[in-house]
Amino acid sequence: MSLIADLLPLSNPLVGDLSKTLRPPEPNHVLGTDELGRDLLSRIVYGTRVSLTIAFIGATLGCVIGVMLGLISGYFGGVTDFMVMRVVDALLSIPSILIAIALVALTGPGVINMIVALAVGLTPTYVRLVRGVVMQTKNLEFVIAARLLGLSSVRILTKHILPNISYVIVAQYTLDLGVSILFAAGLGFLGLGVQPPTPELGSIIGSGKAYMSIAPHVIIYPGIVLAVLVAGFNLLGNALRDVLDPTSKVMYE
Amino acid sequence: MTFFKFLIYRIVGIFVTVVTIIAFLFLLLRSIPGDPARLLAGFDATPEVIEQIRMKYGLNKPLHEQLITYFLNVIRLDLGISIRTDTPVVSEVLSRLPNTLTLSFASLAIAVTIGLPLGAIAAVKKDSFVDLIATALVTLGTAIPTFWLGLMLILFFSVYLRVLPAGGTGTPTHIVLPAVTLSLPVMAPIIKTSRYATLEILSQDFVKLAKAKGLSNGVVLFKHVLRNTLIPVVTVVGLQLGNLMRGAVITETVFAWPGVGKLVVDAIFARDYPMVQGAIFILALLYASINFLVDLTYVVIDPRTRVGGGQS
Repeated sequence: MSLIADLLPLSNPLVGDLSKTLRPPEPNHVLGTDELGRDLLSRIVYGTRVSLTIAFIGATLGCVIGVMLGLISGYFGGVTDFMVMRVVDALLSIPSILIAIALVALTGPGVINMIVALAVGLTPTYVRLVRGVVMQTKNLEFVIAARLLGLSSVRILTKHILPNISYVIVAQYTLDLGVSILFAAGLGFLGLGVQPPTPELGSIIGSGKAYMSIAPHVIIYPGIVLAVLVAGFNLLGNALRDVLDPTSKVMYE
Repeated sequence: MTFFKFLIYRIVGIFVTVVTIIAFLFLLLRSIPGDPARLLAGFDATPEVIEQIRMKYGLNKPLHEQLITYFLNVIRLDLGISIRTDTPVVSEVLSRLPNTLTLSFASLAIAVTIGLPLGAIAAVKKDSFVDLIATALVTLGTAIPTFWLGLMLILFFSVYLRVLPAGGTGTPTHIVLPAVTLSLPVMAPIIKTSRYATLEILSQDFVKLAKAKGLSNGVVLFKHVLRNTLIPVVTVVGLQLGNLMRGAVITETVFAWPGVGKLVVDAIFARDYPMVQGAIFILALLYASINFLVDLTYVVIDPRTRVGGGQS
């Protein structure tokens, strides 16, 4: 629904009516208004779009970089592998929230920093995942056959090895979308992520926090939307893993 | 690999991590746009003051010399002076650290004491009401944002019922809400793992043997099953440390809990770079040390890891 936000009959999420601040839900504003009299439903719909966009870009970047490094590292081995894995170990030794905080402290709060922090935080999982599978796969008959046919490394990696591990990647990616949404919302809530007046689910809750005892609806609804979004991606990711990966046992049915 | 070798291997690992972190933090301060001396001096400083600071912090020396000085300072636990409070960063961070540790351990304790048995019972009584609750907690725990859960708890227990304080410290009741908040996201994976591991172990031969010997269900569960589920649960707790740290930063801010997490967030808004740097360094150090302890716990619980293992 957030994807078609522009087509919906919603009031502008950035323009409010200061005579109608913190109103509880009423016919004109289905979910009420926030501290600047802006329509909450509209802010949530647009905010969800912002949250999703950040999560998609962050998770996609992390996934693409991670998969590429994992392929290279696992296939070529040797010095390249050693270098890549040391960087991955270093990244894993620092929690991604600290990397994010460091980046924000460095250049100020903002969307780009958050996306970079997300990508950096998610990359190591893919590198390890893909590297492991590539190392198992690269000496199987069909890969050796492809190599003997004189195919280039890039072609072997993308056409012969990658399709075999795509299920792991797709499942991990879906789960990461949920993680990314929570991560971005957390930073937004702290005031270190998306900056006002742009609506984002986390920052809506963050700025509504001060008025929670008189207008709890401002923080209740965006939270529910967040939880439903993340739960959706988590369940989808788990289901995908169970369906697509015949080797993994059903972890939780 | 002997236990001793394992220990050495791990300690070297921590050392490498610490060096990486120091280098990372050094580059961080150095890559701040603009002149670090001007930044430290403040916006309205005269050129003389800036020059003085440049001399004081050795900013006029070449970069590699600065890196070495920085290394030596960090090893002596000299992390600089806070711009905001004018006190040494180390003492400020260390004075906040017990609060963060108390909160983290309290939530971890809640998560394990509820999560471990709940997962086990859910597995034994599969598809029962308990299992349903366990499933619901897992789904909710991984999806509900920590800060939102915290606010909802404040709304319910502090604003409506007025039974628990909404923030700050002082009495033992102050820790209840933040600890519960922080425990949920950690509890979810523990329940999940405990349930899965118990299911797995229940189907194994030694459990069937124990049952065939006529041991009661309780004895089988405690003596034979629980011990074996501990290993995956410890692994999960170890993997959740990063989560716990992120949760701590957010939970401390929600409940005005005076820990390192809140210190970092406040320092960012005050542009207190030495403080941000110092706090990140100590948190990262803490993270590395706790990971090390988790690895040790492994070895104690499962003697098999002493042979061969190590590379994880």
